[in-house]
This record gives sequence, C-alpha cells and structure tokens, in this order.
Amino acid sequence: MHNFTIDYSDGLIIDNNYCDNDYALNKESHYMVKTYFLHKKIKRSLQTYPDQLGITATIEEIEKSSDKILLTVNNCNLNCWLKPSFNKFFVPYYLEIYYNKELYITDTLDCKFKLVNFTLHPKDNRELYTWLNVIENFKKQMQCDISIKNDTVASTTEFDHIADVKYNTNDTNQQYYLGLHIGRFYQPNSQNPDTNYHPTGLHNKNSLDIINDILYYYTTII
Amino acid sequence: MHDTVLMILSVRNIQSVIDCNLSLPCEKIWFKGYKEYELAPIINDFINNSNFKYYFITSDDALIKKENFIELQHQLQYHHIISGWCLYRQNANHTTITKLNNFKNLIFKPQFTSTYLINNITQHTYKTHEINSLPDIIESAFTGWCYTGMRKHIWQKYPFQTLQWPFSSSDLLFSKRIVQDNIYKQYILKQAHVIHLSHYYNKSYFDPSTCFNNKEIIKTF
Repeated sequence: MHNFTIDYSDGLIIDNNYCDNDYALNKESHYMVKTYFLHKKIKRSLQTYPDQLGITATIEEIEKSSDKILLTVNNCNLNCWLKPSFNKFFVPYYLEIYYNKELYITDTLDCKFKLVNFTLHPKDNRELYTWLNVIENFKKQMQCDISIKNDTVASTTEFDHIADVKYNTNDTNQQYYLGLHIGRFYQPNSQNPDTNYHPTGLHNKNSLDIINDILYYYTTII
Repeated sequence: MHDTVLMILSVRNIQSVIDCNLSLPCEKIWFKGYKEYELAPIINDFINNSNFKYYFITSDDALIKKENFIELQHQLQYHHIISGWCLYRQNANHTTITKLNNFKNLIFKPQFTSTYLINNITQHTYKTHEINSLPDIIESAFTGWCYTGMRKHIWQKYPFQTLQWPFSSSDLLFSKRIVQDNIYKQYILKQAHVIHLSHYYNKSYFDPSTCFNNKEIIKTF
C-alpha cells in the first residue's frame, strides 16, 4: 500500500513518501488530491422567559454546522510531492486523496493537542501584545499547544501562559504540526502585499486586522 | 533535597526542553550525549546506588507543565506506575495511550522495525479526538517515557533494557514486560499532556546536528 504524509508546518505539502510498486501494478501512475476548506457556522439563540417574580432565565442554544467547499483539484505522479495551495494563512483544510479513482485517505487539519507555531514579526511591542492576545484566544478555541518564535517572547516569562515552547525568531526548528507567520509580507522586489499571507491585502489594516486576516479569514462565526 | 529525581535521556541539545525540566520541582540527572542503547548499565547503576523515593524518566524532546508534573508526583502515592502522554508525532493523531488488547502479541515480532511500529501499534492507541471522553486516570499498555514515574523497587524489578542496536526502544521493552507479567498496571494521567517536539516528515525528527558531541552525566544534587 502507498503511504502519504501531509505536512502543515509551512503551508501545505502532500507527499507520497512510500510508493508500493507491487500494489501500483496495472494501476494509475498518479494520485489525485481534492483540497477543501471546512466552513463552520456556530449559531447562538438567546431566549428569555420571565417567571412570576419577573426573573428572566437565559437559554443559550449552540448549533454547529459544517460544510466543505472545494478549493483545488490536482493530479500528481506517484513518488512525488504536491503543494495544492500556496496559502500561508490559516485554512481549515479537509483533504481527499484518490488513487486509481478510489478514495484512498482523507485528512482534516485538526490542531487539538498538537503544537501550533507562530513566528512573529511585529513592528513594535504594542503590536506584539495585540497579537499575543489573539493567539491566546486561538489557543483556547483550538485546544492546542503554542510555540512562539520571537526574540522578545523568548527572553521573558511574561507570556508563558500563552507560549508553551519559546524560540528565538530565526530558530530553524520545525517540529510542530502547523506553522504560521504573522507580520507584513510583500511580494519579492515589490511594495505589493503577498496575498499568500494577507488574503485581503494590507491597506488600512491595523495590528488586529493583520492577525485576524491570517487566522480567521476562512472562519465564519455568527 | 527532593525525594523525586527525573532521569533525562539527553541525546540532543534542545534548549526549550532543558528550560522546562529545570523548572520542575525535583532533582534532575541528565545523561547527556549518551545514545539510548548505551544507557542500560549506567541508569541501572544510578538507581541501585541512589536513594530517591520516586524515579521519573523522560526523553530529550518532551515538555510538561510544572503543575502537571506535580500532579504526577502526587499520583505516585496511589499507583505503582504513572505517566504523562503525548502524540507519537506532531503530524499524527495517535497518542501514546495504548489499549491493552493484543499489545504483547503485536510488538516484538522478529522483524520489528519503526515502520512496523507506526503501522501496527498505532492502530491500538487512542486518538486525539477520543481523549476528552476518557477518564482522568487511564490504564495503558504503553507509557513512552512521557515523564513516566515509579518507585525504586519497580525499577529494580524491571531494569532499564534496550533492544539490540539500532532499535533501542527501551520504553516498548519496559511496557512489554509489565503487560506480560501482569503484576503492575501502567496508568496515564489525562491532564498530564506532554508536548512531543517531533514531526515525522522529510526534515528528520532526529536531527544529528542537535546532538551533544560529548558524553557527560549532570546532576542537580
């Protein structure tokens, strides 16, 4: 049987790292990847019922529904790797890998109990604090562990309630599940924002907008 | 001096792990630069010739929160063997918490390899999405040296052993003996989630450039 590795540590890479030649006999020489993003909605209904004493009870209903929306379809030769998307911001991926016209494996990006790394390039400390507040919220939502690559964070214990693992900004360690870069990124030799990091650009964006774009562009919470 | 010692299998120099272990309220001993298969006589000599109440062991790529380590120490009053848990690799959903079914039959076949481990053992582990529904204390067939603690007499009864080079797997060998003998049970503390700095992909999870060049035993006591 073939083996595939799915790596989210710097964008998305799918690799057929083991090709079973016996299994592939008289079958297709390529695999197909359908890449989706999972669209989640959380609906909250609040109702109050005053009793005889005029006391109101608050009832909260939480309804979750999820749907998948197709992003790309790619074919790739066996024994080769594939980058179905160049996005470097957070995408709640759902992947289907087909071989010989049959669904072979699926994978959902799921950060629960896994390590998510943020490499932070803030313009000043105020921006750093803003981003760390958002990351703290992200950590609670995802129930994940957080590593931070940033010289300021690495040099203090002030953010240890957020950062489970700390590295200097240029540390090359990549032993984490999902890797995200927060900062202002531009296309090479240009003043144009890199849309792989900033899906809605950088014009008139404050510190909060920048990190929200990177983390929550594909997430809708009503 | 603390009554607990943490034995750290320290092949690689990973600063965040060193900082984490330094913050724990116990004595530490680093077996710096030694490969796992070189450590059997050294660790066993240390245990036999020291007098701590609790002996914990961990790898060089695992981090635990201080409060969770304290709770593990506390739980050793009630259980013979207690351990934290982690993911096999960051890009896997399998945890080290392993169901007892078929464990001793599955591992240690003659052609044991790490691929065999990944393909077969992990079928019997709990996955990340199952963790929240598990009880606070879980019996497991495997601990994985995720801050695994026990008293001296158990270490002496089940001394540190490794498979033949290059497959050290001292954690698997220990758990296999425990499961086979069925005298002691291995318990996992659910809250003691350990971060395993290991990602299985092209970039090797075992980077030789991070290894210590010299061999040294460093103690805090």
